[in-house]
Amino acid sequence: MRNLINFIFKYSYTILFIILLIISFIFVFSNSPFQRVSYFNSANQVSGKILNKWQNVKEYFNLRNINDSLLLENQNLRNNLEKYRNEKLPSINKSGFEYIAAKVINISVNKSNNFICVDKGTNHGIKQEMAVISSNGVVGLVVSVSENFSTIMPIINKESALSVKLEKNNYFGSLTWNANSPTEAILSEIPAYVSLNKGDKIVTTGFSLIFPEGLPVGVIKNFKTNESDKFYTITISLFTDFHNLNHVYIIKNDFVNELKTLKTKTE
Amino acid sequence: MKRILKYILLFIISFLFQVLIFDKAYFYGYFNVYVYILFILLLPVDLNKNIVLLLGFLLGITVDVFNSTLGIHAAATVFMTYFRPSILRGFSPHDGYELNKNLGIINYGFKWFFKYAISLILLHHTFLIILDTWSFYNFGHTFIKIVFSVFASLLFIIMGHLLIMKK
Repeated sequence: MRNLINFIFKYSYTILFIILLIISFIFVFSNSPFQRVSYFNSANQVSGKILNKWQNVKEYFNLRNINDSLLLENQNLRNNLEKYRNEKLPSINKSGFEYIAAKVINISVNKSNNFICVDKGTNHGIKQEMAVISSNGVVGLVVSVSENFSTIMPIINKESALSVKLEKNNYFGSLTWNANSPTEAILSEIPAYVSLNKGDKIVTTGFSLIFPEGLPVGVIKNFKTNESDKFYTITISLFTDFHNLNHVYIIKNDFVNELKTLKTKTE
Repeated sequence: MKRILKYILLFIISFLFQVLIFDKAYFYGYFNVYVYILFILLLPVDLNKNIVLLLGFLLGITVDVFNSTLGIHAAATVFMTYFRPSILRGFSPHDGYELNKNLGIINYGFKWFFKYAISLILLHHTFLIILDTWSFYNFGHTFIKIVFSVFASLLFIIMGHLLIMKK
């Protein structure tokens, strides 16, 4: 016993080092990004408040860009509305999707595991696994929520995987990110016999029940296939400009529970 | 007491500069700048090394919380801090460190600070960037990123150090 105490005393520095390193690694390699992010929810409240204040200061210098993007979006929405009016649709079917606008208060683009923090939380009806889009295209997925803030895993995160398809022929594949550039992502699992062109549009599939079908994601920048491969490796140029992201919309799906119970019943 | 207050202030400045400015900067994916470890570099020589280690963990986890990258910065900072006493010993001046003199360029010269800082930054960045990438798929890119980041951080850390020194 005495020896043990001596041993611990002598090597206390290394023992403490190993303990702290193990704690850090438990955080790093805890199973899913959902769990990992939610460990520090209460701390996120504090950091969220500080980042929010800072964002408010920075926003003044960015107002021109924000205005321009909102104006452009307004124009697109008006055009779409006009299209509906022209078709004289009797009523638009209830889609079950509802949009909540939120302000980006923190975003990183320079890591392998990028995250976005926004200023809406459970108080505003945000829940985990809700889809997030910008004016231009898909942004990502809510992974953790506190009362007034939520954390989003964008598609430019190494662990993100999104089910997408080619708009022109509905062939679907999986969109991942290789940690190179925040303007590009990789689309795989598209069979090599499909004919592709640069500039083909990629949209969401709606398989996951989280994203509505047909949301714009990006366009094909280039593609290649090895002779032995049965699938393409396609580089996608993303629509969402993560360098310049100020506002996002979080999508609430009213039917998600109904669809989920139906899915578990059939399985 | 005044000394402790000074170091608390240094802690806050280091991590605020990191999370509010350098974590937002994007250098086309070639390098990232991590200046917050300046706090660990400047801690007094005679401070108990267990406490320094705990402070390293605390600083790392604070930066992690702000980036939602739980554990990565903590692990890297603890790793770097563990080797700090050996590096201090390795680069010790001829007549040793004087306990009441602050570590830094003023007391020990630019050459000493350069060697001391670059060793610790190299340990920290190598560990951090490999842990962040966590694949050897694109090792060339990771290696370039480590080398570029070390020199970029070194530049900003020396600049930050000179700024703080004047205050």
